[in-house]
Amino acid sequence: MTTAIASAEARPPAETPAAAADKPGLAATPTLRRGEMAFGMWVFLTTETLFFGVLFFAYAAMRFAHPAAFAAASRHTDVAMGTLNTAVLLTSSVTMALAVEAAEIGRARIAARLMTATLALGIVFLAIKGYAYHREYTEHLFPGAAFHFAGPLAGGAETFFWIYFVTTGFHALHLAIGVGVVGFMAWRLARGGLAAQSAASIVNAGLYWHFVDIVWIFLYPALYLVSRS
Amino acid sequence: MSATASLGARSAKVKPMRSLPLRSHLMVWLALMALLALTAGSSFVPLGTFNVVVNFTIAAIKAALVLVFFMHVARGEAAVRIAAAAGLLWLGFLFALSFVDILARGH
Repeated sequence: MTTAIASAEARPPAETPAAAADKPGLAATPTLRRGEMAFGMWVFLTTETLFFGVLFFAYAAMRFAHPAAFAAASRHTDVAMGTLNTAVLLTSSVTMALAVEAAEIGRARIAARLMTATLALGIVFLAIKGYAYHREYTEHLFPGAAFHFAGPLAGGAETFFWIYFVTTGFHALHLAIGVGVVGFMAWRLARGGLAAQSAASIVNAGLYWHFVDIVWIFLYPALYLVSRS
Repeated sequence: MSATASLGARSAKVKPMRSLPLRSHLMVWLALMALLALTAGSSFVPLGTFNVVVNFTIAAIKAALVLVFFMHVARGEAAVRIAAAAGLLWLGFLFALSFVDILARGH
C-alpha cells in the first residue's frame, strides 16, 4: 500500500490526471505498477536467456566438433524418463497459466489450488531427474576417472556429459527456486487471498515458470534425441 | 501518457472475463503433447540430418506456443516485446559470430 502511494508521488504529474480521467473508478497506479513489474521480469528473463544461451552455444559448438561422440553419448541418456519429464513440465505450465488467469479474475482459492498442482508437478519432475542422475552415476556416466567410455569417442562423450550435467543441473536449480516461489505464493494466497498475495506477483512467477519450461523444451531434443534411429 | 492509456485499455479488456479459459488451455496442452509425441517418435525414424531439423523446429513451435498462450508476449506492452526480442537478438549475435569464428578456423 505504502509503496503504491510512494510510486504515485514519484511519477511525473502529467500522467496521473490523464489516467484518472480515463478510468475514474480504477486506480491508475496499481495498473501501471503491474506493467512495470512484468517488464522487470521480462528484462530478468532476457538475462536468463543469455545465461542459458551460452550453455546452448557450448553444446552446439561441441556437438559440431564431436558429432559421433555426441550421438553415442546421447544414446546413454534415458529417453523414456526425459520424455516423461517433458510431459510433466509442459503440463505444469498449463496449470500455472490457469493459476495466473484465476488470480487475474479474483479467484484466489482456485489459483492457490492450481499453483499447488503446479509445484507438485515440479517436484515430480525433480524426483524423476534425481532418479535419472542416480542411474547415470551408477552407470559411470558422470565425467571422471571411472567414466564409462573409452577409446576415440571418450573425450567427446565426456564433454557431452559435462554439458548434460551442467545444463540439466542449472535447469533443476531454476525449477527448485520456482517450486519454492510458487509454494510460498500459494500458501499466502490460501491464507490471506489476493490482498495478501497480489495477482501481479503471481503473473511474474508464471512468467518465470514458463521460461524454465522453455529451457527444458530445448534441452530435451538437445540431450535425449541426438541419435535414436 | 499513451502507455497509461493502453494499459487502461488492456485491463478493461481483461476485466469482463469471469471464468477460466479452460478450453483454450486444454487445446494448447493437447497441441504440446502431440508435438512431444511427434518429436519423440520422429527421432526413432532414420531421417539423417533431417532428424535434428525436425527436433529443433518442433522445440521452437512448442516454445512459441508457451510464449504466446501462457506468457502472452503478443498481448503485452511494446516494452515487454522489446525485452523479449532483445534476448533473442543477442542470442542470435552470440551464435552467428561465434560460429563464424569456429568455421573460419576450420578447427
